[in-house]
Amino acid sequence: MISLRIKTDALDELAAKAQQLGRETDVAMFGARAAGNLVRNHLISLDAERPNALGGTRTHFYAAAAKSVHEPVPVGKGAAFIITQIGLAQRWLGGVIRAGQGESSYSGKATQYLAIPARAEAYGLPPKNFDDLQFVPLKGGRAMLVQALQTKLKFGRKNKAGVRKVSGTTVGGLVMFWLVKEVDQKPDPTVMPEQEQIAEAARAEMDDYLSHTLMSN
Amino acid sequence: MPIEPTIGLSDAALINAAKNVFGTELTTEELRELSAAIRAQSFFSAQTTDEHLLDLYQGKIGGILNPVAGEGEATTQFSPAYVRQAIKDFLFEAGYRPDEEQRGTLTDLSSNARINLVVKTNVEMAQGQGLWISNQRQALLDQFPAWELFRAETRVNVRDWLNRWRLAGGQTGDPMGTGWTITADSRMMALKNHPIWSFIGSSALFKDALDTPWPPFAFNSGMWVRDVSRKPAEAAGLIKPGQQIKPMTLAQAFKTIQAKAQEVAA
Repeated sequence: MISLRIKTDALDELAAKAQQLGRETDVAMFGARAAGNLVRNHLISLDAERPNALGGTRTHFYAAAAKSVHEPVPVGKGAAFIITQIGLAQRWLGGVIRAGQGESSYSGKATQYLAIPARAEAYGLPPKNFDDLQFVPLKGGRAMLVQALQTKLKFGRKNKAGVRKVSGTTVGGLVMFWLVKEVDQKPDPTVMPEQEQIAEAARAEMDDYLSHTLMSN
Repeated sequence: MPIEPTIGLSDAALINAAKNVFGTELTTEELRELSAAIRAQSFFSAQTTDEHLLDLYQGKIGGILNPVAGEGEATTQFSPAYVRQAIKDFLFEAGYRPDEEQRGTLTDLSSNARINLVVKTNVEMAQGQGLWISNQRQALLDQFPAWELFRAETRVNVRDWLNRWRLAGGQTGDPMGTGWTITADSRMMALKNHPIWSFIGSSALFKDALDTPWPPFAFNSGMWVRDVSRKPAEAAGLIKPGQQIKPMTLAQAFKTIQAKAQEVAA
């Protein structure tokens, strides 16, 4: 699990004020809530801006990530929230992914390759979703999964004599997945708002809550 | 504020885990005859009688909501693509073969379209319910008294949510501007406990609705809610300075949905 600790002088000042009022947890919770809301809105904006590069059916990865931002909970003297979308931290922080960690959807054994979609139709689908792929090794330990050549039959309507017209076309030969032993994904810091923005959202909400509380006391 | 792995299961994961598996031959239309409250406590899918399949779905959806891998395991097992494949494998091994005419359609239990719909709808309903429940706290309702209904995901064919919002608002008996509103720039906002949320999710008003006062409100909707804090809610005329809205129970929320369903049925 990734920890991101937001700590600034301004937040410390507000926390001290909150402690004097006996509202430490409430103030921290509202700060975390504002930070969580900022992250949600940021991810929703990314969902609108970044359809998948191959143009396949959209999975709305970033919108799903926004929905997976949990409500904050008190932790010690502060508050915290988690985001449970698989793959978000990988996109944000980058890093090496190696085959052999997970279980192959195809064989049920440890993965030998990572499958990277090569065409829009393969996006969001594991290779096992296709029943016509052929393994083609390449140099350097790489490989590809290619759609097998096949004849597709098209059946027309029956004519008056009850005979159906049948036509056939050869399809296949398309590379559906590239197979690699590992990928070194570059970090993408824009996946999350900047830490200063998160801190400012939390500060503004904590300040607002404290002002509201002081006024009503 | 250290974020350490001391946080337990999310509300959404607990809600999913607590549901009773309910195998049924009923269609979506027929399932609507059951009360909304019973449906919210059950895990089911239209015309799916195999409780082992539903158990598998429930477990996999729990994994998406709370993706904690065991020692040495990868988290890919919780990605929707792998969940979908696990469901397909189960169905194939159980001997399920779709009718040729139905292959690939929503009535084919093994189609991507069907599995995606079941997974996405159940994940989002649990997330939406978790969001709704966690918002029923006085301090939260004071500071963030309203929600905005907004489009979180684009769709090729979009439903007219602005019109639905007007219609649902009209059903509450409150004129626009009292507890619910549409702003000059067409934002749809309402107090978190306003009955408009029950009406926007009511299948008595909208055939595709899910009969819940939380998002996604309708099948495959792409809509979600986000917090509106005190100041903008006051500026929009939804709440007066110093005014409080009280936390609500699930039973109260479902009462509105049920009453509308009974009114339409009568």
